[in-house]
Amino acid sequence: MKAIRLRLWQDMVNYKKPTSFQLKETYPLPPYSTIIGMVHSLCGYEEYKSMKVSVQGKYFSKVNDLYTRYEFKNAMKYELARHQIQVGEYGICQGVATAELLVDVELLIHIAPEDQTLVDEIYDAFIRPREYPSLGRREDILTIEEVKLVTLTETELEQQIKSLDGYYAYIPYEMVRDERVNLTNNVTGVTYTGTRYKLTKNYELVNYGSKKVPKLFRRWNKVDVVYASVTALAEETFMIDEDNFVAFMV
Amino acid sequence: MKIKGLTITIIFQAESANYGESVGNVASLKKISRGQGDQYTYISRQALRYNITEQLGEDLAPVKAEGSGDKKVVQFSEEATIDKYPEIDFFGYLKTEKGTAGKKRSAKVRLSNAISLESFKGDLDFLTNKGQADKIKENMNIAQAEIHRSYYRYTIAADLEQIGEDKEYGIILENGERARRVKRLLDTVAFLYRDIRGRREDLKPLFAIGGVYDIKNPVFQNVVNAKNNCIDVAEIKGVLYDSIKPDTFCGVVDRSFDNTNELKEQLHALSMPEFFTLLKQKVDMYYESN
Amino acid sequence: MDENALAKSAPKEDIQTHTDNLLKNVNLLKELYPNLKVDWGLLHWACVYHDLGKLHFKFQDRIKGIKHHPGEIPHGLLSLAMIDHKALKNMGYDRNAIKLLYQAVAYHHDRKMPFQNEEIEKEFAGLYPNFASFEYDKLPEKLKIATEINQRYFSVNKRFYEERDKDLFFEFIMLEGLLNRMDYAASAGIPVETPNDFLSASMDELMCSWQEVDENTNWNDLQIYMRNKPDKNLIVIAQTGMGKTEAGLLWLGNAKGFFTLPLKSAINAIYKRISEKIVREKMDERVGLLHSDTYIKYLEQGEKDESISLDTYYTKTRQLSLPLTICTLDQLFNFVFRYRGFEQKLATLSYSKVIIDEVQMYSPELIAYLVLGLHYITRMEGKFAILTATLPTLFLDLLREQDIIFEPAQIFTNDIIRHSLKVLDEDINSKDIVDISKQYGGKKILVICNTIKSALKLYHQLAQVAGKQQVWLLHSHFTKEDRSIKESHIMEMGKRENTQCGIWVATQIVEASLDIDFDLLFTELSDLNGLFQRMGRCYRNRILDMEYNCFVFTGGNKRCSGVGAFIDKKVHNCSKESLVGIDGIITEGQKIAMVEELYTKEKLSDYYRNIKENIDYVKSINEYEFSKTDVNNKFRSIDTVSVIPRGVYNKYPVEINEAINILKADYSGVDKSEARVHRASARRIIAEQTVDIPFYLAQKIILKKIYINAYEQLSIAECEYNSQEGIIKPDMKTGGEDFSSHSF
Repeated sequence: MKAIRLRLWQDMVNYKKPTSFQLKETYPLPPYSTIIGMVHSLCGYEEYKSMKVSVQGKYFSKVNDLYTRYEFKNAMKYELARHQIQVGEYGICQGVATAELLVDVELLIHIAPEDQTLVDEIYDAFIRPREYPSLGRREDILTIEEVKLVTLTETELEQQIKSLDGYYAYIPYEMVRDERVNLTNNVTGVTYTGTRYKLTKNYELVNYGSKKVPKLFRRWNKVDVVYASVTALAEETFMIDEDNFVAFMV
Repeated sequence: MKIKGLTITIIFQAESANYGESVGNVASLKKISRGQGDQYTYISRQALRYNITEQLGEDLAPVKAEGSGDKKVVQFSEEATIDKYPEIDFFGYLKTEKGTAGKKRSAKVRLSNAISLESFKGDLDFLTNKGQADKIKENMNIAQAEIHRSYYRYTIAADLEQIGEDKEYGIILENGERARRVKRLLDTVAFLYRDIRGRREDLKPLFAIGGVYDIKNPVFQNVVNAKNNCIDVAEIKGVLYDSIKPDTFCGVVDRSFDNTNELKEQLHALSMPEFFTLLKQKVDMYYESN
Repeated sequence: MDENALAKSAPKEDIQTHTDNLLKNVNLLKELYPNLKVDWGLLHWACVYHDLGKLHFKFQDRIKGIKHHPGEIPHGLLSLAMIDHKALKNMGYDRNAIKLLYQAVAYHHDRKMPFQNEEIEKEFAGLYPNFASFEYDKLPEKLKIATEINQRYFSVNKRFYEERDKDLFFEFIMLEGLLNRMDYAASAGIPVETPNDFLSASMDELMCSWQEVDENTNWNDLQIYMRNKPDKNLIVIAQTGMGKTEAGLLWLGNAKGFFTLPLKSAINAIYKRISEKIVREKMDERVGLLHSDTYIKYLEQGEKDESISLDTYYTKTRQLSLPLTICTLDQLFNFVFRYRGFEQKLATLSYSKVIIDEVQMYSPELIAYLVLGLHYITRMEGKFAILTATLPTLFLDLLREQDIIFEPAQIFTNDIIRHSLKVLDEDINSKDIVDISKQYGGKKILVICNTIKSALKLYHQLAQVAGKQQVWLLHSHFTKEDRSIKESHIMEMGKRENTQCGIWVATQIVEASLDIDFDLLFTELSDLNGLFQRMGRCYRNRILDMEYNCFVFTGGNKRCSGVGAFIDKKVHNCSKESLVGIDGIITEGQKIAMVEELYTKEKLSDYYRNIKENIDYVKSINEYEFSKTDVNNKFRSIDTVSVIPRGVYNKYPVEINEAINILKADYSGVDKSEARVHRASARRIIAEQTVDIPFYLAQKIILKKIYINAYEQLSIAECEYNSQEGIIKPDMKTGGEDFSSHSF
């Protein structure tokens, strides 16, 4: 299977957890949907192209950043008690909020489209992006350190492969459950290490209204992963690229 | 239009230009931890953006009265369109209106936070209002504020082909106007300042590197570092691939850094006015060629 | 002697010799207990590999006293470099078995490990120089030092957990626990187990000696029942004087056993009885006594018998390697917290039988530990027997809830009518006691109060009526010296043939373990269990020959003392209710039935829930979360603090200070065991003058500390003291609470 491997760097970034508002919390690594979204936007795809993604990386620290937040319900009429800003007849709230930012993020990402003919154009999209690519919020610009076309092969390991210097990864839960990997950084007295997430990957639009008055909602396909630092164990089978990096494709 | 990106990574020197949440009566600067766990202060991109729009010298979008009086928030105004206002041409808008899901334009000019290159050592300023208190023979109040004077680094990235185009309204501006706007932006960056706490902090570049490229990647964002008052040349040269090298220019203010000569020899650094003039030429060439 | 492969420094011993000693112990254990639930082969390899990490130059430098290198990695982790998992696979061990082996070796010294595999792997290179010259015939061929640890088998701080790994967790306990036992035994130079080859014979001899006195004597139903079911878990309810101890020992037969009792004094008494009447010889190879003052007790034993090597005897006891050990619950059952290093206790109990005596004495907290402990012991196929005079019904429910399998509880009583009970619904008072005892003409009168405060009050009142020479007081706030004098006095008087007369005012400390027989009993009501225990001190084995011989005061419109302080209100009130309508003769069967009816989870739901919560709390603790010290501190709260009352200290300042100086002295250069004896004797001199106070009370009184050394200090309690009354009103840190109304 051919794939695009990216090494990326970001200085201060937020991968928002969908349920956090007053404090915009961040995931420790970008979730799959964020990466797939970036690929689609850079390639200009208008419909979903099925792809598998592996996310690994690390960050140095987290900081809470105070910012001015503007928010409004679209087309809501201005009310003096509710809104700070009036735009024509509409109202907008202005207040403060906090965003969790990860500092000095390094990422190692593998992307493998199901339709293997797309590999080249995805590769090109990263080599010559249509615009400065961002990952996370719009303002979280990426520095691309490396884009490489790689071939992923299913390999039974002779020797275990440790994670790259301090890197963590999203690992499919089944892999952890079947003990095909070892989670490092254990703590005595804690049965399971790592953090379990249900991450969004892609969605279908579902109409809950009628044909005339459509009410479209996104029905997300969520994947069960563990965020941890892992070693791929010997005698187990993994997707490996030519530089001996393990890709946890989901 | 051919895809082109303008990116510049800039170093300036400033002092305590952005405060965050405070504890008690100590005003604390915005800070992050990195490296060996040292703390570095930063000036947020929103702060920089505010100063840039303020100093563009262009028409500001329609003024809307707010609770506090005369603040200007243009990006929500329904009559604010990019042909009239370069500000939202650069930085986008999000409009509230009936019948649509709201109109939006994402930013075409993007900024990183300006992060200090030297670590914060916990210095505190001590303030009182004794002068005022004495007038009414009251006890004075005291306060403290963290202070940090350092080199700061930030990166600006602009998607040139998207400036002056807005599909929402079907607006496409003349290339001349587009070029004018981008050059105006460059001028603003060249003379940027920030007013804070009764000080005017100079944010003009002392060192800048970048250019107009086919590849949109802010490559210099994490390789420009100052150590012992020298710019680390080796680190910069490490990313000067053949694909970007010919388009890359670099400017330095004489005597700012101890290794100005090395910069001139190794990176062919120009003076700062020369650097900006050259970039503006590149911008002109791009818009004229299309 | 391989000078570059030392395992121990004083005396010097190399790794090969030390490991051979472990393997000898493995063979010994295998001979004695061939059916243990452990993979003997794996245990063999665990022993072979366990100390190879000591070859590291940093360890060798340290043990030779050359240099102390910073950042030494524990040797158990370095040993992993030698384990050849491929070879083990070829021998037929599966992944889990190899995982067990790695972890057993790595964690055989269990300490905090704040590093990752990488840090260990970096140190592997330091093994090369000494390994090159290391020769040992037990090692597999072509042994190489690995460069990295295979993480399938080991990752720092990764462990087996009960919830996740089920059986593997218990397999690990066996392997690690036995490895530790072998290791410590080899280091101490003692055999890991001494076989029990005497107890059945001793019991037979005991019977013969009785039959010499009376040829019709024979084992009773209880004893025969237990002797016939040596391989079952039993619960037996038997009245006092049925010979429960003998029954327990018969059940034990020639197996490894532990006999647990609630009080140190009871343990000392049983130990004495066994050494004098049953085992009679080679006590230091056969019977151990384990509580917090073991060494002091052994010193006394050593004075009687010069041939005993105290140190060896003590070590064998601490290592649980003696065939029969008599101990307190906390010495054995603290493993329920699964602290780091708990495995050896549970592994040992898996091939032992545990006798639990006097269950009704335990607090809800201890009941919880007991039930949970039995759950683990039976899970590991160990056996238990519970012997008790009365059994709270809810205890059986608790056992069932923990999936513990046991034979239905058996009740053993005889038809002798011993007691007739009069219930007086009023506060205990001297007037009634004097009037009633005149009426019944009892000579030896026992008065039992719930608290020291109320005992003192009665003591003074009765002394005024009957004269000081006729009244004595016994409670827990006497010094050990005074208490043992008083105990032998009350025992003497409590003998049936003794014709002395007098009044003893006491607290519940006479409920258990004191073999006494009085003519009349006056008592406050604590709860039913307590009441029947107290009645057992009166007409112990005599047939009732008067109208009433026991009188219980239920408080009238006042509350009995101690209720609400350390006696559960609910239990007390329910006990009071169940006494309604009782007047006159009460049979043994009746007593058991009343207890059965009262102590149910329905009636005492709060009490039951309290125990359940304790069980759930301990269960919720993760394995290896606590260190042994943490757990000991937890048990501290149910333990006691020894203090010297100021009044006593002022009486014997010379002796006490001399003893303190002996403890302070520097013994470097003196023979170790000699120094130990010196110290222990000094400690005993001090201990004789101390009073044991419950931990929670000790926190409330003002204590002056006298510094002895880094580990020891003396606490002086600011209070007066005399040998008639004990401690007199200590200074409290906070006013309000009365010290003596919270103690017994």
